[in-house]
Amino acid sequence: MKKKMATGSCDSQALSLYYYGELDGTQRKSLERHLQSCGSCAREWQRLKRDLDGLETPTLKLDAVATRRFAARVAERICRRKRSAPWLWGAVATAGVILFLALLVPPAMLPEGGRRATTDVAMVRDMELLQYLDLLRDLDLLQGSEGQG
Amino acid sequence: MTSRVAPIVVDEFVPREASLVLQNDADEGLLELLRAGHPGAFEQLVASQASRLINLAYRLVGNRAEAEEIAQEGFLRLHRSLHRFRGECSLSSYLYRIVTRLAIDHLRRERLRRKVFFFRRQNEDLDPVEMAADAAASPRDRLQAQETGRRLQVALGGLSARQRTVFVLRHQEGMALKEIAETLGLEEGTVKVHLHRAVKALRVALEDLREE
Repeated sequence: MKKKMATGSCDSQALSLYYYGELDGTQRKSLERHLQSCGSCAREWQRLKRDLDGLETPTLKLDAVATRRFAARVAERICRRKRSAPWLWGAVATAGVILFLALLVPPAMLPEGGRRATTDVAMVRDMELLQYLDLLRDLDLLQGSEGQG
Repeated sequence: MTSRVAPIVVDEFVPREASLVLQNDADEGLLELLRAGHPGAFEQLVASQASRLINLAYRLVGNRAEAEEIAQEGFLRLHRSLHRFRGECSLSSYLYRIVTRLAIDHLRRERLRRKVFFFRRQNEDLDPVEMAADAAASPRDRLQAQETGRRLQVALGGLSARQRTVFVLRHQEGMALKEIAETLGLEEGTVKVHLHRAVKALRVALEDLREE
């Protein structure tokens, strides 16, 4: 079928909407008039209707036992959630307090650990001085000999 | 597609009435009992709505185990949000909405998973004969109906999550497009386009089943 018919408002989307009763009064009447005068659209409409009417609606059979089993599973999950809720909230609250404190307290106020990062950086820098370690030993000897002298 | 339907001429056609039949609407009393945590009230609600919601989820995702999981999650979410529920719609409509959205999320995740793992669900995975068969039909007709149902599930699997949802809600659940638009938070025009594209794609996918 052509997308838009020159003689009316018939397009394939309009046919789908017509099938589902989703066209307003004016559109529906206009389409019905067109279908009466246009053979190709009328045939397409018949095909569309037959195709959609033929589609089965899958349905699961849920007997009383299956329904009870399902309801029991839902109830169990609700109970499980209720049991775990206080514990979970406690854990979340504790983690939140720790995080808050960690962010609130400036590093300078921390006893040793707060300065650890700064110290580590300084240590790395000091590593470069290791190459002068022998000279330092010599310096100690010199200072010692000076003292003796 | 089956040939059970006799040809109908244009003049005799009466467009389908858009009707969403929500059975067992929970009344105010039940809501009060639920809010008060009355033992048995929630179980009563679950028992009355389970079949409808599992079937809705099944039509949307095409797999019984996943459908039950989605329906369960729907009930849990309702239970969690009971204190916030203001009763602007019925409990069953509210549940319907939750399950539909959960199913859409599930379809999207599933699609992504298949893309990532190059995984295609095999036809054997489809839930086979759980579907209600017409007891009065002949074995040949039943077999044909099963094959059509199986093919329909495969064809539905090829649609986007939204197209599939719109089609299922309109064609199989009988919801009006306006209501679908509200449920999915979409414009009605967008829903119309999704419905049309779904119909078109399904007709192409099931073309060989058509008996001329």
